[in-house]
Amino acid sequence: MSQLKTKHLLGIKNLDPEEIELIFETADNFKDVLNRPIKKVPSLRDVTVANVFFENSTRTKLSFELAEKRLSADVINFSSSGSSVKKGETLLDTVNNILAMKVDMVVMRHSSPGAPHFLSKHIDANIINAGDGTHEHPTQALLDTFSIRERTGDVAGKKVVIVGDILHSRVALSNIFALQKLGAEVMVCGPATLLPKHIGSLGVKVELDIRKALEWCDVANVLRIQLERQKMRYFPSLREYSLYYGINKQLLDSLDKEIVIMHPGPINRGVEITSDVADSEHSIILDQVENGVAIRMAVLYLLAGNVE
Amino acid sequence: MSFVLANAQIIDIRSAFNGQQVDVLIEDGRIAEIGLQLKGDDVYDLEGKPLSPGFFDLFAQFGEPGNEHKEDIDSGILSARHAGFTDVCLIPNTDPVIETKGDVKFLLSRSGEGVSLHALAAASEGCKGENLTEIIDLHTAGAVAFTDGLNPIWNAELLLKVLQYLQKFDGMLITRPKDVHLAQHAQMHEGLVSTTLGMNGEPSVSEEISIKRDLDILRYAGGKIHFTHLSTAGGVALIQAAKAEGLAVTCDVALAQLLYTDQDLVGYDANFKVDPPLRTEEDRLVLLEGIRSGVIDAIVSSHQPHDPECKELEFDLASFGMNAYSSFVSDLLVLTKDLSLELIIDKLTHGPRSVLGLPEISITEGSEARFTLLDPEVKWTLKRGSNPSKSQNSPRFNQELKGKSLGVYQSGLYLNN
Repeated sequence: MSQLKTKHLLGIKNLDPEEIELIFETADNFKDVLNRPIKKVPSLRDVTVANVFFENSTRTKLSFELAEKRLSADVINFSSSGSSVKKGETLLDTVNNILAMKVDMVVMRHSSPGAPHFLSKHIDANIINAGDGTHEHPTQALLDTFSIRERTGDVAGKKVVIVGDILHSRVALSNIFALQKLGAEVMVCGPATLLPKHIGSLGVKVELDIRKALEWCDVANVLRIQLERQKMRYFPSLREYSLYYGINKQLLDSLDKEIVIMHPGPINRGVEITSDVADSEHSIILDQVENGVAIRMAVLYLLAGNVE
Repeated sequence: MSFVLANAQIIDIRSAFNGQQVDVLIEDGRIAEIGLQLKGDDVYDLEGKPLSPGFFDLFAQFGEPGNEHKEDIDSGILSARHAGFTDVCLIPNTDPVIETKGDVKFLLSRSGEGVSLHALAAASEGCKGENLTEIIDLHTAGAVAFTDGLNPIWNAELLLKVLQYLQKFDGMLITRPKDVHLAQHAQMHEGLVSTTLGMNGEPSVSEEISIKRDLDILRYAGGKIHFTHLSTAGGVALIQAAKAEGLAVTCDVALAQLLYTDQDLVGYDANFKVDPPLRTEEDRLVLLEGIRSGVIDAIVSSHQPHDPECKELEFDLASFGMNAYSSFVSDLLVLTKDLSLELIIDKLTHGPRSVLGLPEISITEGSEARFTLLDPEVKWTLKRGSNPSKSQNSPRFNQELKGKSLGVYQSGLYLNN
């Protein structure tokens, strides 16, 4: 396989394992490039990419922008704060206005699940989903699984637990799809109020006790408690959450094995994870950030070749 | 003045001529004779096409007053006629809502062009579920039943008061069972599909606990309730048990619930965004069985027209509701894969009329002549130009459809489409 079957990256759900493998192999090459003194390649010269963010983002936007610049693309940025969205313009109008300026690819983050799918039915440019509400965040799942592969050699056969707010997390859903496609076993762990009722039907294990989850797994991907995305209270206090679902060094030391710790960031230190865990040798949190640029370069590069 | 509808295929479970191809002689708006080789002033040959009693819709929304750009009464009537309806009950959820004697009289005065309008008046002021409307006055003005329409009656105390107050004239409350808290942020049915789409879902238990609560209050207060828009298997079981117990309950289902499931939402097409949400295939099968067994009394269109500004946008921002009229007859014929046409038509004619206690209209000698004529074979494409509605929020838009209504007859007037 030398190219993706689709012109958009809307989610992991519709990717084949071979396509994920192709993205990984491409990212391996770009990671080499990123470690050279001259980190830039001309692959996307004359390609214009718009980063359209209708929701706040710091690291994803930065990571995409860096990936685009390393590939020599022309980059424009749009974010909803202070833009015409607040004047009542529709998503379609906003994006069509940007496309009228001859943009080839759109990287979009939006608070509505399915927003990039909606857009893909109405516009011609390649679309990369940089997070759609509580649905998917495909590049995050790709960089997460890429990082597991890098640290442990292979994703297949690994036991991965995703801890925390699964209900409001696009990272969780994309990770579940990616991990399963690559042959890993997946468990979710958190208070039942933060786990989708039907998540078990996706073929993942469900565990309400953090110690049992950690005893089972090889890798723990700890999610941020999305305080801003909760429409109501799902647990009584951060204090209680951190006591019963937080991951600390004492808990990890009490296990008779070593597990890899991941976090998609930004971390609420002292809530879902303590500093001594986040900064320990078990943590690959900063590797995830580094790999994010290579993965996004690979996705941009592969999709740019799929223009109709 | 008399005329003959010759070679009509009668579809009417209550008629002795059901399933037969006969001539129907109409004199002065009544059926004078049914037989073969009948003579009249005029003869129209239907060439074996189906003739049924006029369809009666228990639940439809037009946009007048307030949202005339979505559907005004004129376009609504035209759409209803194309869907085969001679009678339409309009829900009170307009802007302002239908809650005064004047509002009811306004709606009734707009009947015509082959379609009689019936008013479902608001049960609570503004359909907000807080204070009673002037129910006796509205009844006197001609309201056929009382409902908060699209809004469930969330307030148990109000439900009790409405049921008690309606007993003066044996009035009917129509309510949509939904728990407003469990359904709060829901975009669709809660299940495996909503989980993979990352969307908030309304669990089936939302409908079930509201039916249970309403039945308990009905046992306590007396009166009668019609549950509209059943969507869950559990809901059907509850109504079945309530009927067996002898409670005065009836229920209906929206056509979309019999045709589609939550699987149809996988492409995020907001035309499938309806309330109650499309449920699972298991629920759909139980609803079909509820029609066959008689637990479900009627099928409603739940026609809810919306402009593109409310539908062609991100799924969670789109409005709930489907334009049901534009493809209605064709959709009924699609449904014949699961139900017989005569049973479907029974649930669109005798079923809803009997729910409201209205006189039976049947293709029988001496009965009022009120008909729907169908052409099940004609192929056409639903698009701008062929769409009688002002709105396009139909999942069947731009598709080739099979079957339409030829026209309707009532009050001595035939109107073809």
